Amino acid sequence: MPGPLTPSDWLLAAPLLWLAGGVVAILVLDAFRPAARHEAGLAFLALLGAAWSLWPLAEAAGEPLEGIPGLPVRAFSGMLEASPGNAVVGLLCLGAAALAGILSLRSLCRLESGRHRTALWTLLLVAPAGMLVTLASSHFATLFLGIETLSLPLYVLSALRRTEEGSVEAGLKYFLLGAFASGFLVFGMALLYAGTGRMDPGAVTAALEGGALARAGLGFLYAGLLFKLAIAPFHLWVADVYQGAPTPITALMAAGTKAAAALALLHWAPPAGPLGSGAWALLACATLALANLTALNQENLKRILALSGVAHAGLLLFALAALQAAPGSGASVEAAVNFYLVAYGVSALAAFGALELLERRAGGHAEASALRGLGRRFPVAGGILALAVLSLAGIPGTAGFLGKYFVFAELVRSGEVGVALLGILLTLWSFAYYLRILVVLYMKDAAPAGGPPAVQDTPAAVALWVPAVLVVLLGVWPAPAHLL
Amino acid sequence: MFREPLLPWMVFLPLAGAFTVLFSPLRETGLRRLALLFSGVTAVLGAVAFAAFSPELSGFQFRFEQDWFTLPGLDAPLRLALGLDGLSVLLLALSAFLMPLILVSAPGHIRHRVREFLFWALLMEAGMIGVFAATDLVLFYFFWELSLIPLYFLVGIWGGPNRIYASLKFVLYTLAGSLVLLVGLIRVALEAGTTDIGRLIEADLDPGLQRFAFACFALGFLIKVPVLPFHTWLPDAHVQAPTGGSVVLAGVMLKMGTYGLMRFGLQAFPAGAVDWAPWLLLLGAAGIVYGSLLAWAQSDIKKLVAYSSVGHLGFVVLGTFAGNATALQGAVLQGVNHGISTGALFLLVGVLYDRRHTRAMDAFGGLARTFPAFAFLLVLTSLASVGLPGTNGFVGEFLILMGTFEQHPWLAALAGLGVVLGAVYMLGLCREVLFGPVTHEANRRLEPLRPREWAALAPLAALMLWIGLYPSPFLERTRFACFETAERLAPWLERAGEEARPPAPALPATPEPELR
Amino acid sequence: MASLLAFLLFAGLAVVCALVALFHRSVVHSAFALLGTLLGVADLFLQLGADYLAMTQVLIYVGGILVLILFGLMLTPPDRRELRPARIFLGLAVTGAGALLFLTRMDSGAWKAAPLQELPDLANQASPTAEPIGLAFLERDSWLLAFEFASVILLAALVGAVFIARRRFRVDDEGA
Repeated sequence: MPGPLTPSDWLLAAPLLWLAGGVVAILVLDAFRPAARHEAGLAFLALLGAAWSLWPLAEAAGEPLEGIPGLPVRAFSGMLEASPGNAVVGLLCLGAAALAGILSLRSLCRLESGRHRTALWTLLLVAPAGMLVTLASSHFATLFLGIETLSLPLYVLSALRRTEEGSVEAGLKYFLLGAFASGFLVFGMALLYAGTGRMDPGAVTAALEGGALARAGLGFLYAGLLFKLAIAPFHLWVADVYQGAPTPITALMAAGTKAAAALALLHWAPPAGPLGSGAWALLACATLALANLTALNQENLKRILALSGVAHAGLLLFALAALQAAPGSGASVEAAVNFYLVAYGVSALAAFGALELLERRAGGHAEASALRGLGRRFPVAGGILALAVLSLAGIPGTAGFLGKYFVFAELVRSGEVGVALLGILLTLWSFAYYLRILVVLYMKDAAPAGGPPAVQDTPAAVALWVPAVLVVLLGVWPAPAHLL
Repeated sequence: MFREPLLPWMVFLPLAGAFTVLFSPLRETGLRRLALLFSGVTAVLGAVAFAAFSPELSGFQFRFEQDWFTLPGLDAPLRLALGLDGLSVLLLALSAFLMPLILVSAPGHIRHRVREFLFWALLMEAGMIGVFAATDLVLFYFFWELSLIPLYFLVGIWGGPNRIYASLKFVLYTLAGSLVLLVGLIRVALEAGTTDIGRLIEADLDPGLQRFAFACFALGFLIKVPVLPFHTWLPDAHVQAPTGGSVVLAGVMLKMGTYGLMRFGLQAFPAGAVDWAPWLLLLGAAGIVYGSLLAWAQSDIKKLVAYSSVGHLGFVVLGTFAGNATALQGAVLQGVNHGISTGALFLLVGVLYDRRHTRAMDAFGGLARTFPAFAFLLVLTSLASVGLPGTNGFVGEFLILMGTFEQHPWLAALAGLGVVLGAVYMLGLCREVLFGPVTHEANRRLEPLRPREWAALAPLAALMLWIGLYPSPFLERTRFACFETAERLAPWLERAGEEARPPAPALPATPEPELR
Repeated sequence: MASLLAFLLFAGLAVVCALVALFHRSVVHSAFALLGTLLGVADLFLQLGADYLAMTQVLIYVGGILVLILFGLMLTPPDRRELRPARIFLGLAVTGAGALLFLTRMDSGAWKAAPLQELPDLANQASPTAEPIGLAFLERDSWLLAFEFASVILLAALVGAVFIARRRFRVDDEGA
């Protein structure tokens, strides 16, 4: 029955309409006034509008009714489904795109005489649209479309510095491997549909009870999702891509893609079943161990932060393990995951953003040797990077600590104390490389200034304060966000 | 009326000071004065807390409570809950008291990046005071870690040549412990349904949970103390740390471990404490002897003092787990004593190092003639450290030995051997450095003690004598809490005793210490 | 019976053409053989009553992608290294293993599809699907969102493609 759109349809579609409208507006403007420099303004307007239209839903996260988080909103007969907490993660994705845009204003925008600005700004709008759809997907169609829509712009954006080999390599590598992952994803969906006849998350439950066909489909589906989330053994692309991509884009990937993929995985996670908590816990531990092992002898700070992101994604899997061990805990696990994603997201944004500013002062290098002692020469960017690193490490007083606390609390509550101990000791390992960043920034004598003097970037320096303040605020006063 | 806001101010002032210093437009000297102002006021507040503490009240005093936020899975919200009892009041006052002395002495050895130094020092002060004042488990953990990072920077930036290795080792060791502690904390919070320390103590948790929690918490604390097998980070950190860092490390940081053992190990998880006590007693006693022997073998003065810490803290652990109020009271006091005398020793080592840029014992000799004021202070501090009657060390060690002797005579004897060894190496240090012929020309022209060095050392010397000669203000403030803790422990001890040997002798009522 | 015959005919066409596409020495011939495969599959769709799908298959794969492949082939120099025997063998081994696994498992219940002899004569019964599909794309209750959102990703692909395909600017052009 064709019916009119309901309010909840509009609620979830409005942010997408803002973003898509922004893209069209930029393209149209570009057709008539090619030299105009209004793209950035239009893009920020669209992001702002999207955030504004998402706000009513996110607001419900802060005002839970009698301690129960707001109920999820379903739209388009179950194509999309988002809880207020998910909406907060959606706001994070929009914020990540905005920050990436602000960081690009004085760097990426000026490449090639700015002739690719159109591509930059439109793709910066499409990517968060994909993230929003992915994190709210509750149908194969939206899941696949969402993941493709968030990936495709990032493939191109990674290769934005077309004259740099690293950037092109990053784009190509991300594209090829991402195409493989998409293949896995869509093949898994096909098998699941063939095996169960369903395209909603219920297909997962049905598949676990069904035959080998559907279960094989499940395996392919998770392989595709774990690739996007960068879980071992699908994490090998992360370090190269994060390093090669322009740092503002890396920040968007780290905060946004990870958040969207993680929520998608949570929505599509199986209820307790043969794929028990042990499998997720094992995957989590393996990811943490591999990421930490690899990160220990990296020389490039971007790579270290990339691998730290892998380790954090691994940590998130512990929440899935908890969900498996205690099937009734869905709401609180989701709250923990939402908080964790926001905490990691703001920390990663602050870290990569500050790194971008420092990198420019070091002649475009993120090597440890080039960044020696820069924390002192540039106290604001250095301080924000140090703060973000402490948050990633999970020191109390920062958002990262509470995120970690919530995840491990879920694990302990589900009875997996041994896994929690193992996991937390694996995170101890990661301190070795987090502290190394602090050593580079503050405990080494400064490297001789190299490269051309960097452009004064006031917008970026101001915008960086937002994630930095959020890191502390969420760490000491998470009241509005803790029930996501 | 000042009672409720007192503790929040003590935490807030250094915190505010830290950020004021960070963003202040002042230059070096002005910054130092500003920081001193903040920590000085905090110290005054600490003294007020000490003076106004009512010895005859049970439970926490100066309570401050404010809802913070709710953790999922818990009924009650986390609270910004602060309070003091007999276990924490002395250590809190000590933390507040030491920081101005460190800041006063800092210009001697901190000459570059002063702003950052003051920032980290004040931040650490806030963390340390918070650890002793927190009466909420999560808040406690929060401050516990908050005090760690500043010390990492203090050692890593202003430390000696091997500072990066030492600071990394220190942080990784401590974090390993505190992360395990975190798992225990999460489980306790979830199963007890509360994070309020007072309620946890009253709750009489399930013995199985208590044992698990004790194991997790104790690991964190034992590494921090540090007790024998976990002590290897301490000498590295001490030797590489700048003088101020060493003083804080010895004076307060290590006490956070012993305080944790008492507060959580004994009070909240008595069942676990009784189970593990024999091993911990053994480790404590072994630590006394081992630390003393290692200290004896050192030729670097700072290393000697660092190893002596391992020995002294063995005493504290021994007193903590001896199982009666006398020893516990001694342990609390000895924690403070160690902070005062070892802090002073590190300051004295710093005095020498600032003048000669060496800490090798054989670079000195005959300083008694050329540097008499220093000699006087070193002898006094050494005697306090050894535990000569009339100094603070005596009171603490005596109470510990007396209490331990009642329960475990053999361990007391072993610890007594440690006292003798302590005398051997400390007096050996005095002999090498102060007496004999002057072997190096440079030692003839040592600059006399500066006013700021006097200002840092004299209060500590005065405290050593005060506690040594008239300890009752200190003892009476700790008595109530120690007796209550011992009472709480008694039924568990009895139960353990019944399992071990059928005729269970009831614990004799512990006589009150004679020294009052 | 007629439907089974038709199925065998077109399935055979698809498989044979696929084999030709794989093994023919000339890539251009391979590309043309692919035409047969795609058309065969399109006819299978048709027989299953999916007339719309069959049409799209012809339009997109034959009309779009295959032509694109031919363009690509014509514009790139040939590379003979691809045909080393070791590579061919490895490819065959992997494919063979997969096929073997599939064939052996095909009998077990899970993989079993509708048996061949029961193949319904869908082509003659079913009404055209284009209309219901078209309507479903525009109905709120079914695929409206997916259909509309697909345009966003296509737009992004277009923008990305234009960016990548655009003439490289000289390096000294940068930062001006």
